[in-house]
Amino acid sequence: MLSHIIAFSIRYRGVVTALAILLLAYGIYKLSNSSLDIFPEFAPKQVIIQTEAQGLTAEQVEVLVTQPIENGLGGLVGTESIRSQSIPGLSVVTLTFYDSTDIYLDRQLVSERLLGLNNAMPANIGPPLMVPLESSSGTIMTLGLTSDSQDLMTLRALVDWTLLPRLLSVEGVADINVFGGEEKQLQIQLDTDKLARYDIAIDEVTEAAKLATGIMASGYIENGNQRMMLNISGQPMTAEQLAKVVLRHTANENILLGDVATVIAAPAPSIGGAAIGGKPGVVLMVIGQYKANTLAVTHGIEDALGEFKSAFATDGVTLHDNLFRPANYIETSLTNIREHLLLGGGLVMLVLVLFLFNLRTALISITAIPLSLFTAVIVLLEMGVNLNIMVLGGLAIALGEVIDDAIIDTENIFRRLRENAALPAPKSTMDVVFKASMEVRSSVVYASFIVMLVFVPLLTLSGVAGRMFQPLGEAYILAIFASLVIALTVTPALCHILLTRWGDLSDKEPPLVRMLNPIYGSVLRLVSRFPKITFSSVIIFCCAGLAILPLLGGSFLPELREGHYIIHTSSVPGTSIAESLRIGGQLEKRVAKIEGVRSTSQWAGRAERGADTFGTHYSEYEIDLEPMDGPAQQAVLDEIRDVLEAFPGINSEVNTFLTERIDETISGYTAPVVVNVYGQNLAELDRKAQQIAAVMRDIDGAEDVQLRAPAGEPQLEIRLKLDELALWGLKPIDVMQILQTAFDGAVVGQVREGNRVFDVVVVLPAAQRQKPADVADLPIHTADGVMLRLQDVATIKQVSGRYMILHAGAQRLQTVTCNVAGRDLTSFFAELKQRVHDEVEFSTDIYPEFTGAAVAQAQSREDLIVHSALAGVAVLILLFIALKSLRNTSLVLINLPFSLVGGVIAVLFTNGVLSIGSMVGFVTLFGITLRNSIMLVSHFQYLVEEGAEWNIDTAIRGAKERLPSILITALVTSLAMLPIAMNSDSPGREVMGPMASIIIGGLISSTILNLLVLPSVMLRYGKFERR
Amino acid sequence: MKFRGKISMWIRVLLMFSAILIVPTVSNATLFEQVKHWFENDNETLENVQDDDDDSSDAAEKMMAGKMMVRIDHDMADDAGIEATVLVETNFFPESKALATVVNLRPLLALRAQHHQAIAALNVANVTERAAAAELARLKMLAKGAGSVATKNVNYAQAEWQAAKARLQGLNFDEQAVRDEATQTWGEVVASWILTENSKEWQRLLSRQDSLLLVTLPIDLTLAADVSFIRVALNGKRKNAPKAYFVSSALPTDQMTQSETYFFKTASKKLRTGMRVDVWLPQGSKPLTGVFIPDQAIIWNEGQAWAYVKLEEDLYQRKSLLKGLPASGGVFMTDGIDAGSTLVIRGGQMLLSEEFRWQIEDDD
Repeated sequence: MLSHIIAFSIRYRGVVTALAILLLAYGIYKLSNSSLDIFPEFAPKQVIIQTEAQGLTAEQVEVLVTQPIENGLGGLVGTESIRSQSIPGLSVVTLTFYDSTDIYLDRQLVSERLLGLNNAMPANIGPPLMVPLESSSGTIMTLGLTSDSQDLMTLRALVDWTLLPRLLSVEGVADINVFGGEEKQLQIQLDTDKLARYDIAIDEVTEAAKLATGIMASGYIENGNQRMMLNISGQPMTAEQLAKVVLRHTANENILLGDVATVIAAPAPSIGGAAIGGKPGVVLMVIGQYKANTLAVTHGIEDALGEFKSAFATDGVTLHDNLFRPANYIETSLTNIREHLLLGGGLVMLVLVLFLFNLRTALISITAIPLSLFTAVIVLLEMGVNLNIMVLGGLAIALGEVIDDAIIDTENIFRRLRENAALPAPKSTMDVVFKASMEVRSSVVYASFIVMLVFVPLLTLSGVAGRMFQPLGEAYILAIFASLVIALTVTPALCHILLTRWGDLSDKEPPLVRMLNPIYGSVLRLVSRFPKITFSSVIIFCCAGLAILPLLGGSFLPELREGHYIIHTSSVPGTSIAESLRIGGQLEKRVAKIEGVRSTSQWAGRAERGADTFGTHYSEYEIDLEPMDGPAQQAVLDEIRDVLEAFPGINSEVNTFLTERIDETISGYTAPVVVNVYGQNLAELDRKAQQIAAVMRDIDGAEDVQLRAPAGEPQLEIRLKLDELALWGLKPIDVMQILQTAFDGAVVGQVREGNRVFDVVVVLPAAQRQKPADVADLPIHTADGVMLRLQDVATIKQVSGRYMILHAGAQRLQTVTCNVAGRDLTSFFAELKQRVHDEVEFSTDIYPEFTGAAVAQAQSREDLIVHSALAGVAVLILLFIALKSLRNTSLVLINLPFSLVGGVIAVLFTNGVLSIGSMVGFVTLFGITLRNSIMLVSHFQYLVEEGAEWNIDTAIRGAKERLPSILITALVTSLAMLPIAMNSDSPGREVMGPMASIIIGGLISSTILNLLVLPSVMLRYGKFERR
Repeated sequence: MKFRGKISMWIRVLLMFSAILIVPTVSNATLFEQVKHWFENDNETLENVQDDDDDSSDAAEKMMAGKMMVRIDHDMADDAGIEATVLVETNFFPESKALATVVNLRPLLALRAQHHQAIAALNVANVTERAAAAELARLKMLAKGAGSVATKNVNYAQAEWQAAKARLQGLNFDEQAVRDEATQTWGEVVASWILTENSKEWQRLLSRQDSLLLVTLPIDLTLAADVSFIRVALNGKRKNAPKAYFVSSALPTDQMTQSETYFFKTASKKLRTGMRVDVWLPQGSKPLTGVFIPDQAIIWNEGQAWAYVKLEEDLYQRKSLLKGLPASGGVFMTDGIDAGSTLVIRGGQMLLSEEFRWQIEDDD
């Protein structure tokens, strides 16, 4: 079949060439209209349901909110797990679905169930809302507003009612998390002294305010001609008007709301705060939709912001639109990759011209690059895969290889045409081109399939690694496959068009090859003369290289040079927003002093529907850097880490944004040892967890033993004295309502200011919501008109409560985690299990589960081993088919350690850290190495088939004949990778850089050994026979 | 030769592969584990390479176990914005807050009117009785001397006098009843104001120069015996609150409270009848000596209030405020924290966080 394809391509070379040009044009068109993102969607398929439960403690949230939601969502088709967090004021339920499900269908199912759950929520709580479907990278942009002339309430109102609606309308924006500022409310701030003086109860005020601000439909009047709607106006809309509302009417006088309360616009109780450069302000985090294009959305946001800039400037509002712009990284990466492609392409051209010494052959070979890459891009785009750095990475590492098939083919055709031209009676050029193509056909096809096959296990990776690297694998495989097709069709066609006319072909070999050949022949002969020394040296060399392997560090991804860092800090639970912002301000001051830091901003607590669901003790900082290279960014990072380490009272973490996102995605599975204790009684769970932690600490190798949801949040426990309540004729709910109104605020209605709507809330003034004594002194008005204080009917005590209650599979759990150092996980697990069962008593309703990253990843590892083994077998079969000899096949495999050694040395000389990218590099390397071995060994076979005897002369001749193509492919691949490898610690090259280094290192060692040692090995142990 | 070559080849191949498998075991890890190591995105990766989670052992080192102490480098404390102030010795009158009502004088007026009526009636009856007694005496004298008065008339006058005497006695009882009611309802002191003609106190109340306050103590509070005055705040603010002077303890009132009630009078002209006001009651008459801990220095933990005191340039200790007396804007400490101590007034929560750093969950 292949011969037919080749014959067809040569016969209809014009058509094939035209189609190739068409493909190029279409590829350029598609590429110019395509979108580019940072990473593929690497997050698992999750639906997150958040329910705001302002004022409830973690325990209350768990029982009243989380549990009904979990029960309601249980058993959904495709659910892999259901986990929840109940923290003060918020319930977060996370459903993880299997990767095979459709996320939109998953959301639909959840949405249907949620409809029924709205009614199950307590009054004034919820409703449960699905967090918008976001892209894995999440943030599209972080921006902020500060002002010297406007207060925080005005700023927040400006954001909520003017900026936010406009930004949300930008295509691709999923949501915007707003941190900080002060949410405006019209507050009826109770004056407890006046209430006491007038003998008025708090709920009387609440009721009066409710009646004053309520809005009701009024209907219409209709006669035979017209219908007119009734529109009531004149309701109190301002603080002054509301203050005039009658609270109580007596025979002699009216008591007004303003008599017992201050009606004022004031900030709502907040769940978060924000500062920019240490100055309080509003920070907005624009979240991209699932599969949204970061660049396009960024430009949309920037256009929208442009509309506001002059108005903001007039109002004295400073817009900080560059706190964080992930698009910078994409743009820098694109520039870098573009440079790399141009430089790499130039170097490839240079090598081709030097080795082939013919511009036309170089041109034919080089056309394979755009054709293969564009084909891969077109197919990927048609498959719905967005272009991203991983796809570009796949294409970049394929860059040097996609040309190989074309080079081998062109070089062979060129050589045969030269030989033919030297004949006294030259054959038909079409025949020569066809035969020359057929000559290398099988090795090209098998080699390409081998190169593709070694990549197949990459497609079967599970988890984040799978989702990240699958597009890379797909792009690579597609590009290689496309290059094979090009080599079988376009290359012969172009060779026939360009090499058979326009002047005679020189019958001489290119000067460089002419120069190298005798040298190579002599060296090869010399090496063959001392096989023992050679082999022993090679084995020592390989062993030394492999011995280095365990010394290398490991990393999921290399350090990404995004020009931006995100710091997380956490204090003890219970730290106020004000204190978190104060600490943040001090920290920002320190960080801002570091050279290269361009801007800093902070948010504390959380935002509504925010991705991060932490309390007020938690802060996140955006640190944006001046444009700088990788090492300079690393220096800034090191300094930031030094500052954080020395800073008191906080636990901190600093990462780049993408590392952070990946970290968050895989969180929950990161600790290698996790013991979950399930049960119903929280105190008992804590006790058991502490016992397990004690056992764990005692086991050799355990490090960083930690309880995941420790108690420690300060709470004020108000225990009602039922006898006292009965004495005064009070019901518990009366006291609770008064407490809620006083400290949480009772929303009684809304007022409008133009198109802005604000809540009207009855609450105590902020100054009376600060101390435990304020709670104790809260006036309680009995039905008999007696004014009591809360402490008269309740015992008030400060206690330590739980900040967070965790659920997994709708069951309460407490988790103990640890890392293991200095011993293997398996034995640690065995000892831990045994000792926990021996030393900790468990009842029937409380039980432990031993899990962790090690356990969680066992299955995926097993899958990978099976898939790698299958791919390995397939590669061996292909090798066997290509070489037709089991012995030769085995001998070819020795090239693997040859290449591995070079790769390991390259890692050692770069950063000494192995990442998944490095693994991909090794996989690529093995493919290329095997390809080169096949080229050489199959040529030996070809020579024997042609009538030569298998001896040293044939071996040297075969090696010399293959020298140009092996050198060209190795050099082309290496040089194409060189620009990335040389400056791998710079934006866009971090993932590809290590791959490139490994490929170059491995290619150097494997090519040298392939050219010098393999012929000797084949000569001594190989077997070639005529068939 | 050929055979040797084959063996030699396989030995070399075996050597090569065993090298791949064996060499890594030198470092206690199989090749498989090593590959797994690059491959897995485990926490080790994140912690070793990308994570800079602070080592909690550092925090543990800084925390002086059991002594509630935190050590923070002096320069870092400045950078962290920790502020401290030297405490000075002050005097403090411990006080308790209570509610008071401006007493409505109408019931008092009514009682006083009742009393006046009773007195008036008593006076009339007194005169009548004295007249009847005189008449009886005159008739008796006439009957005894000249016998010009019929015994019948004497008897009649006797009856008249007896009746007037009985009426006088009855009105005396009435007046006593009003007096008793006043005393019973308002106590002896206030009753005496009502019942005493030209009582200066009553006149001041009537002319609204003074207001009478009914102070209701919180259920768990008792008024110290030597309290002569309290402070009254119309607007709930303790500062510049005028004095009110002790009058008497109040007997059962119309309120259902089971706590103690007292009458105080104050000269504030801003008070109106029926107003409810806050009052501050001194606990004891002698001032206490100690230091004042402002609210901003106070942090709550494990059921009680604490404050950090700077012991050395880089050493802070957490001190309990359990024995502190509640005061406006803070806590007054008579012992536990001495005058001259350096109190942390900003950054206390940060120090607590540093002390309990081990409790902060890593968010990996």
